[in-house]
Amino acid sequence: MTREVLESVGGLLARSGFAHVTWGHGVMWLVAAGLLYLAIVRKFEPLLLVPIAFGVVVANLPLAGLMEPGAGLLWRFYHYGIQWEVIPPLIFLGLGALTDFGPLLGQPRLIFLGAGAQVGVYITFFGAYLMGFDLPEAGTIGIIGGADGPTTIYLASRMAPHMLGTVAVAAYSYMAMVPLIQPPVMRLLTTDAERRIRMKRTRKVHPAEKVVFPVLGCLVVILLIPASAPLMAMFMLGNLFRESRVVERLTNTCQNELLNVVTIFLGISVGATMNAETFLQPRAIFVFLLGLAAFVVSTASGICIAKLMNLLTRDKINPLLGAAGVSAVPMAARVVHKVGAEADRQNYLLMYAMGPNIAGVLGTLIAAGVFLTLLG
Amino acid sequence: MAEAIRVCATGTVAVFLGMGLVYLSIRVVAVTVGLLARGDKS
Repeated sequence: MTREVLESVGGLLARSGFAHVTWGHGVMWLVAAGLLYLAIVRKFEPLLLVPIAFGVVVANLPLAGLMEPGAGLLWRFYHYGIQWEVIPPLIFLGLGALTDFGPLLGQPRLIFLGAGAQVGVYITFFGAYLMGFDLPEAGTIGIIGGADGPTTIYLASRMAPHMLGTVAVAAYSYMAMVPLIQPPVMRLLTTDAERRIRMKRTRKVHPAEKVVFPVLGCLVVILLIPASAPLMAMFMLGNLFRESRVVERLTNTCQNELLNVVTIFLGISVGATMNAETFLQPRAIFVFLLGLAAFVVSTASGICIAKLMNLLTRDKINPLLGAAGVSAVPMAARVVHKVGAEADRQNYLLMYAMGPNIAGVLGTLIAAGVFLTLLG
Repeated sequence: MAEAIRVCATGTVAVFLGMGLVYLSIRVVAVTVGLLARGDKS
């Protein structure tokens, strides 16, 4: 009897996950541990990195089958949420409800700084292509420079789904590291005198402008780049909820409950795509390196566009604002303010930096739409 | 290579064109709202 019980227990253990753990699983758990450390101890984008890291852990449990196509729980979240392109647009609905376009409407010329930062996206795209990635993969890597997580995930799911987990983690990790990545580039490309430039006072924006803008902005961008429609439409709808001030319940829901719920499913679905077979490859390291390069080049191109605008216009722009043209809202704007304050304590750049920061979101949406149109 | 260059050039132009259109929209709305507000006052 004892022997039979021991054999039965032995059989159970042989069919357990323990018997099927590989070194690849172990490495992925360590990767997840690293992400949890960054999220919990270092507070790097915890809202995303905690569910992503947990998704990595449970998706790399042998025999659990959570990512088994057609049957696994996490596969269903991934399939119906991301592959069906539901979650990223819903995230944008929430982001739109949180966004105040006022700083951009008050100084509309700053919108070109948001466009300037996207030049970095295309330079990185070209660099990735030269390094051997195919065109859709290169586009997915390039968009990391836009510093917009949901757009990166949306584009990756459409153009290079096998790279989804890697580019998402790279994007969110670097977004959290904006205070470390951007300042050296900003100091290198600007003089002390340029960092001291004080911006012209922003004009007062009429509430009606804020109501009309989401409708008109949505119209012109989608007419130009129809592929940007899912994200742009949801972004502007959320903003219209906010600015109309007649649907406070909907605005609150978009800003809080909806955004929180979809963030959970986005995070765990993205993490679940990171398995040892796709993640532990030399190409993943190149994705991380190119992602970092994308952030640096986008920051630099935003600053260069600001300097170019200063050559062409009378009212000078503080070129640091160009660095806020990468999205990473509001982190990049805060970094601009901090670096500006190092040169002149009385120079408050935060509100001005929010303009190109928000323009960067629009710019990244357009850049992603162009990739989808030409390569999707 | 030619395809990659085409995507880069087209994308850069499209982003600036798109943002230029948004810029024009903002200016048109600002002017229109300003004129309407002035009309209301008078």
